[in-house]
Parts: sequence; C-alpha cells; structure tokens
Amino acid sequence: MKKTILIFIIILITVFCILTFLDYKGRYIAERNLWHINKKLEEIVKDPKAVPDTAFYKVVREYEDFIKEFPNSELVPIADMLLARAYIAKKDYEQARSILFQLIKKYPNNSKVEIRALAEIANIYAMENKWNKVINTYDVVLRKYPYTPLGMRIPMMKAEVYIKKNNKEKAKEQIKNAIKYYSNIVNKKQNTVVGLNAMLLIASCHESLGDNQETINTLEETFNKFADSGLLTPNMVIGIVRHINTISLAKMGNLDIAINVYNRFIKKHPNHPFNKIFSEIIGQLKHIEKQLNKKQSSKTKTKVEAGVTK
Amino acid sequence: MKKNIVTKPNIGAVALLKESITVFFEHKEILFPFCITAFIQLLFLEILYFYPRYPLNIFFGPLIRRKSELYMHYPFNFIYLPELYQYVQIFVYIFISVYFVGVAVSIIQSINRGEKIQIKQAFQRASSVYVHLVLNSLLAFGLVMWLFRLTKLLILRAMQIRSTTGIFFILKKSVILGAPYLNLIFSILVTVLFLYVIPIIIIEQKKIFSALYINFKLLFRSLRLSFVVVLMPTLIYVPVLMLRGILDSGIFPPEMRVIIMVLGIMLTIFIDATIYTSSTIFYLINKEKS
Repeated sequence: MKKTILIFIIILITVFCILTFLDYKGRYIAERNLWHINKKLEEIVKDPKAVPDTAFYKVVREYEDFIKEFPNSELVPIADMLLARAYIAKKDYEQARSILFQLIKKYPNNSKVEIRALAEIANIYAMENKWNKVINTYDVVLRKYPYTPLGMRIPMMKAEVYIKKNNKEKAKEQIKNAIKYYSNIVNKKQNTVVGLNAMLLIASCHESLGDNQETINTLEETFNKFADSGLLTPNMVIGIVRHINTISLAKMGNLDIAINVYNRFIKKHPNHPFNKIFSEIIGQLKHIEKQLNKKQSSKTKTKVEAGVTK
Repeated sequence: MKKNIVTKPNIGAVALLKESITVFFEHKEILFPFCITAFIQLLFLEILYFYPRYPLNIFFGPLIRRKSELYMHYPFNFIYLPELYQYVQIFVYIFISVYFVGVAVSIIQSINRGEKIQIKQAFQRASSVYVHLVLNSLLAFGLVMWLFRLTKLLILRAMQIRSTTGIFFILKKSVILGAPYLNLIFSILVTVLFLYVIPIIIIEQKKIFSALYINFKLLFRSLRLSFVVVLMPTLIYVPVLMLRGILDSGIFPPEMRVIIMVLGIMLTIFIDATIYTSSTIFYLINKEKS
C-alpha cells in the first residue's frame, strides 16, 4: 500500500512538472507575473507617499525584468503602460511620458497602443496643468483616430479642459463646435455605430449646455433614426430611456415629456420590437406620476389645514 | 498487534466514531481505496489547473471560450476552476468514488471476520455489484441536486430584496452567505438517508431496491445515531466553507482557491472514510445482534 501511494505521489508530481515545463514562458505565465507585479503597483498607488523609494524602484525593476523576460509577449505594451503609471504615481511625469513616447515608437502600427498611450500622455499633461499640451495631444488623437471611441469623445473632452481652466465662454463655444462636428459625422456616417455614437454625444453636448428639451429631442431623434438599423440593442435602449426619464423627472419635473416621447415612437413604429419596453415604461411612469400627484395633493391639503388652524 | 472490530452491542454514536477511526488507523488497508479516490480527484484537479496553458488549452480553449474568453486568462481561470471541477466531481462521485467505498466496505467485512485482507478479492466483490452501487449514487445525487435547487430558489428570492438596512437586509445577507452551509446540511441529510445502502449491497450482495428497503428499516431504528455519525465528521468541512467565503475578499492570491480545493478533497476523503467505516461497523453489529 505504501508503495502504491508513493507511486501516486510520484505521478502527481511528474504530471505537474511536465505541464509546468511545457509552458514555462507562455502567455499564461506572462499574465500571472504581470498581475502580481501590478498588485504591488496598486498598493503603491493607494498611498505613494507612504511607500519607500526602494519598494517603488523594486516594482519598477520588476516591470523592466518582465519586459526583458517576455520580449515578444502581447502584454509588453501593457507592462510599459503600467510602468508609466508607476512613475505617474511617484509624480515623475517626465519619465512616465518618455516611456509612453517610446512605446508609441516601438509599436508604430499598433493603433490601440498609440491611442491608449496618447490618452495617458494627455492625462499626465493635465496633472501638470499644461492645458495647451493637453489640447495638442487631443488634436493628435482626433486627427489620427477620429472615429475611435476616444477620438469621438475628444471634442467634448476639449470642452472639459476649458471648464477646468475656468474659461466658461470658451467651453460653451467648444461644446457648440462639438455639436456641429458630431452633426457632420451623423450625416456622413448614417446607419453606422459611429453615427449612433455621434447622436448620443450630441445629446451629451446639449445636456452640458443645460438645454434639457434639446437633449430629450436628440435622444428621441436617435430612437427614430436608428429604430430599424439593428444597432440599438435592448441594453442601449434601456440606457437611453433611463437618461430621458431622469432628465424629465429630476431636471424638468414633468414625466409627461418622457411619456410623450415613447407614445410618439409607438405611433410612428407600430410593430417595432421596442414597443413592448416602451409600453411597460409608460405604465411605470404613469404609476409614478399618480403617486407623486397624490403626495403633492396631500401636502397642499395639510398646508391649507395648517393655514385654517392658524 | 492489530485488533479486530470488537464493539459493544449498544454502542453510542461517539464511541462508534472513535472505534472507526481506531480501526482504520490500525488497518490502514481500509484507507487504500479512499487514497485511490483522492489520487484520481487530485489528478483531475491538476489537469484542470493547467487548462489555460499549453498544450491543454488546445483542448479546453474552445470549450471554455463558449462560456467566456476571460476564463482562459489569469486570474479569471481560478474563478471558473471550481465550477469546472464540480462537473468532474459529479462524474467521480457517481462512477468512481462509490466503487472504492464499496471496496473499503468489503475490506472492513474481512477484518470483522478475522480473515486475511485480500485487496484483489475486495475489488472483485465491489465489481460484481457495481451497477447497484452506481444506481445508489445516482439516486443520492439526484436528491441532493433537487435540494440544492431549493437553495438556488431561496437565493433568487433573497436577491429580490432591495433593502439595504433592517431585518430584510439581514435576512437577505443570511440567505446568501448561509447558502453553502444550507447545502452542506442537505448533503448530510441525503448521506444519512442512504447511509447503509453501500454496506448492504456489498456485504449482502443485494440489489439496489432491497438494499434500500433494509437501509430504511435500519435507519429508522437508529435515526439519531446515524445522523450524529454523519454530522460529526462532516463538521470538519465547515472551515473549508468559511475559507471559501473569505476568498472573494481579495486578501489571498488567486492560487489559494486551488489550495482550498486540495484541502477539501483531503477532508472529504477523511470524512467519507470515517462515515462509511462507522456505518459498516454499525451494520455488522446489528447483523450479529439479529
């Protein structure tokens, strides 16, 4: 029996060793090593001042070792990005930026890497309050990758920069320009995801300007324009519906605005699959409206009664 | 000198458990079939542990990716590993583990008779009634799964509670956190219900239904003892459940899940060995009495 158990243990150990050896420098090991290094970085980022320099440089060295150990791994750009973040945490912005610029040079044909690196560079400039450079970096992204998710958001992000700079006039002007820019995209890219995103961004612009009615109009237009495109997923519809409901109730104090949007859609597209969602929402909104009215009338009643007693 | 199984006719549950542990430590041959089960389980776990890595990812990749691509990457593979291993455990429980419990019962019977232990003969004896052993485990498994569904329904109901404070929130939390313990209680109940079936099938070479009939007769005569015999060793498993509960807090590295699974396998083997040695001894005592 002892012999058999010993054989079992040997088999288990041998299988473990063989399977470990067969993939000792594969993607999985790279992922594991990077994850553990990243965990250490997370600790540093939590409270960079509390962490001694030696611990910080140890993590930096571990990133560098990782890049040396897995030079051909797809994770190297991520490691570079994380290394840059380590320097950002330590407020060594110059070094962080230099890593990111090198990264862009190292992967000239990798648009994903370049976009992420540029976004990170813009962030660093923002941390240093170098707003002009932030705008310049945004412009590079906008020029090179206008239809990527980040590229699409750049006009809005530029407005945010002006808000941070306390230049409200310029921010307003930028938002108005962004609306024009997105409207052009909507016309150019009809019935595409880019067009749909542009519509949603137009709505965000109107919301930033405080124009609630125009925001709801744009969202309604999105429903109508993309109703039969197949691009609007049920989750997206629910997201937009929530947005409309929040604006009409919280900002405009009138749920009828939202109810009318859905009724108009049902009238225009009588057999549309979204009608079921809209009908349910109309029912819920009417119920909320009733309850709100009840509360309001009971409040008024109490006030009147209080007035009479006085 | 090794002693044979000598017990008082009116033995209590604790004394029976003590006797069982003494017996399987004195006659280590009883543990041998359980060691084989442990080896098979550990081997399966070891293979599954390497599923996201080359060369096993060639086979497992397409299967796992259907669930989610994330599960092929570190550390998400450790989230999926327990679920994946559960499928293996079902197979092991129904087709393998029950067979080796049968072998162990046969060994205990030989010890009780004072015969020389012949492992080969014990295997042959279990093989001859293998179909009935599997039917027994299928019945037990079906019942456990049905009870686990109740837990699931309970969790789903609790999830609908939206309160973030007060009695309903406490109720919701208790159901969600207590679900593994409720499942453990269900497992205990089902084990009690089928406690003597394997000893009867092996010792009497009975078919499943007559074994079930005799089992229930004996069980209802000694319900309290049977319950305690299953409950006490199973309580050792509670720390494993507690550790599993802490795992999601992120204190431990992802690999800890595997360590806990290995610990779980070892403990389950010890629990099974204790429960089935006790139930076999108790059955033999009753047989001699009658």
